[in-house]
Amino acid sequence: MIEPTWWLLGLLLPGAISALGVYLGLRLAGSGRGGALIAWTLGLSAAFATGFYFTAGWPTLPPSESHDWLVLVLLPAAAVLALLDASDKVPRPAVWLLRLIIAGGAAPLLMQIYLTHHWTPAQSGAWFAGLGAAIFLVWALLKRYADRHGDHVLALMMLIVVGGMAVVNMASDSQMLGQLGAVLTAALAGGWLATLRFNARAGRGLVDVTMGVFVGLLISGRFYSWQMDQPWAADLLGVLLLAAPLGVWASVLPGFRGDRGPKGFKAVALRLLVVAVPIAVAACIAGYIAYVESTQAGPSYY
Amino acid sequence: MTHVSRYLAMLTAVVLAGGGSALAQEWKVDPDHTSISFKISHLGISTTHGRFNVMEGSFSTGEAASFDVSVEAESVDTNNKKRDDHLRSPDFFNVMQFPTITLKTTEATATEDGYQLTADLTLHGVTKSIVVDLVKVGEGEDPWGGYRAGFDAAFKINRSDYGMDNMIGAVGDEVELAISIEGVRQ
Repeated sequence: MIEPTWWLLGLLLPGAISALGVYLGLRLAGSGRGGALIAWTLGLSAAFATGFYFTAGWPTLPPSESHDWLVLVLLPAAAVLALLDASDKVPRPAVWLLRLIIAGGAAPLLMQIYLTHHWTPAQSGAWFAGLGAAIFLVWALLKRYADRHGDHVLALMMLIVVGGMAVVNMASDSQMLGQLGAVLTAALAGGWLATLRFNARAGRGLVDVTMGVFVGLLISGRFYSWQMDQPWAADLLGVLLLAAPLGVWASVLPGFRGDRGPKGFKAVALRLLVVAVPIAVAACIAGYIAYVESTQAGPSYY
Repeated sequence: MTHVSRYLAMLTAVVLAGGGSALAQEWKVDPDHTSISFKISHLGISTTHGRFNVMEGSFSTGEAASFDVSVEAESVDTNNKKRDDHLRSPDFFNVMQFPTITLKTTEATATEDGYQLTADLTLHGVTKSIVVDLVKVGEGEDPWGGYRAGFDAAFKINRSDYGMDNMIGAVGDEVELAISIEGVRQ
């Protein structure tokens, strides 16, 4: 049961803030690589922080829950990373090292309780190393794609990914994490609308903040909320959602490029479809599990 | 042991275990005969009941009385799996982040029928001091050679005080808790 005011303050308002932030950022900083990074970083960060407040309230200080760590540490870290990336004065290796630290450190940061209460040191090491490597791989490949080929459609593709994660979180027992995913989805939609006023390459600056929040919500969902009777189902959903952003690379495969490749709307639709397939599979699995559990539990337990 | 000496031993134990007794007695909580249940408003039109199924603890009676109980938050049970899963999620108890709920005595005063406890209740990672009236139900030998004592308590908290403020309105803020605790003398 979502409060009616949330749709306005938790969803539409962040979307508008993102649209305004991205638009003003691109106007003031230009739509080049640096300008796109600054615009998207400011727009998405302000939008998500606003939506977070109207969804989960003020985060606790010091942070205690994973979503508090997400908004107080992971989001600012990702924003700083993107702003450093926007500067020509910061060496690229330093930016990539910081990206590695943030991507690799996201899981230990959000899952500190697992170190002390749920896992042995060996389990923690294995999980954190694996998660860190997987997250960095996806983050790096997405960033590489955005820098080389990023355009307006990138925001739509990430919108599908994040929206799908929101549906999975919502279906898998956490309304709040689902709503926070919807906040980021609305922010991406607002930013995408704003970039339509500029050249296509203005869409490339969204990766770091989007990935920071996306990864934080995915970890929070998988390790704090999803309680499937079969743990493999939760792992499968996690893999599908984390791998989904890699679908953006399909647009540079031989079948998509060249004179014989799809053009115009058809090309955009195919690019979106490639990303949407794993997301749709994940959403269907989560929805089916939720349906089965709810039929066992009764139509409405609220 | 003669009847007289057994009677004297029982009498001594009863005196020592009584609320407000001067000498301390240590007791271990028997989870099979201890119940921690709660009830909360549903939509303002009815009351939903729930309980925690896994707990451990100990208490001491006498002048320096104290009652310490630890509950596994994951064991929350409202007789509806989907609702219990939701209660375990970050929307409510966030049981992976906050696996235990604890009640630790900071001060105990003997009363006519038990104790008045001032205790730290830690729930959802937030610790707050509460006052609980603990009423002694009884005590005596069990059929297996042990000696047991039992207490009841009922108190109210606002879940929002503990950072659990999701869905307030549909699900009430005020939670009534009822504890029935049985301990085996150590």
